[in-house]
Amino acid sequence: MRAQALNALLVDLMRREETLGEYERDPDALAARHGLSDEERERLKAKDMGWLYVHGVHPYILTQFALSIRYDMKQLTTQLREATGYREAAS
Amino acid sequence: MAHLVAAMASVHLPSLLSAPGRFTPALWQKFNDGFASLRDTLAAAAVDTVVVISDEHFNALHPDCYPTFGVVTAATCTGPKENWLGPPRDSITVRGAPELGEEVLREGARRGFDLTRLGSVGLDHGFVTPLYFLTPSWDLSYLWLIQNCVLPPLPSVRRSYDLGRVVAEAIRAWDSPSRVALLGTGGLSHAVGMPDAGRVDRAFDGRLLDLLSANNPAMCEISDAEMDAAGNGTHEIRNWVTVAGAVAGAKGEVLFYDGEAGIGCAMMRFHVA
Repeated sequence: MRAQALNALLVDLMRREETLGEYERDPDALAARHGLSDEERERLKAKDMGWLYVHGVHPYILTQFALSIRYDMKQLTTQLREATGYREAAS
Repeated sequence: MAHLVAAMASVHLPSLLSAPGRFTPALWQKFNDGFASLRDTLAAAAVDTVVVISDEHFNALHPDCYPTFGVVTAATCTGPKENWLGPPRDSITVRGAPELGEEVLREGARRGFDLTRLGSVGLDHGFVTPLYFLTPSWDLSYLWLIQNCVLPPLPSVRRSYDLGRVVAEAIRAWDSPSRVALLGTGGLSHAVGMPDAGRVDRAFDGRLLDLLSANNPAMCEISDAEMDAAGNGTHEIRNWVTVAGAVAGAKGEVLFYDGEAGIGCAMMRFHVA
């Protein structure tokens, strides 16, 4: 699986209040513990959902990460579309 | 032997619990009427055990170790594991059906299905959401069959259909007076965590529901490419197909279909003798 460290961190965050708390309090330490690259750490801290998607976070994991941190889900979709150049088909 | 007395399928969209305001009153009426009708079916058939066929969304199963077909054989399971679903995390504990689970594993081995025994698996929205409405007292026994619909490569739709046969024969072989219902959950067309989230493929959904209602084995020809085109969440229709495969050609009826809320929503029931 691509982005193995990122996916593993986010799965842990989805499941455990302690990890969610650490993401909110000390995301640098959390990222270091999971072996994230510098860029992965910064993009995760910035909640750059488009970048995370393009760089291999599983869509179900990305969605549930967003839900876990009470993210604006419309904003999530907007970021995914901007990152991929997706255009809705005309109805 | 145990008896297969009811078979049904429903969406498991978590928003029913986590964001109910997302749906219009008209759509809520359809959900409520559909769940009420399926509750009546369970009651009329005196069901004591439900075999729940769904995928699991990484809340308990890890992407590093995710079986194609898993049989949850634990005596109890607890959930939901999500902190965002609505019911507090771990507020629901259900009784499992370990004997039936072992029967399914044995029948799988007899029929060339290498099923994976799972112990206790934390319940996620694929299980919790429809059953929250169908068995709100959580007072039955539940056998959870987890089918990989989330981490490619996925089983073929034909394989999912044939799994239904395994389940049906296991119920027949189970030395128990139990009255068993099947519940497939998930789908229909939708996209999760993808740029096309919110898009519904009504043509795909309509064709699928026609095939399921007629219990037409042509459903086994549905390809990964077709499901990808309809949205990554569409792969969950395998859980409906497994129910169809279990009921030996029995026809079904669609209780409702609605595509207005950014996901193909439906419920159905098969006419099991």
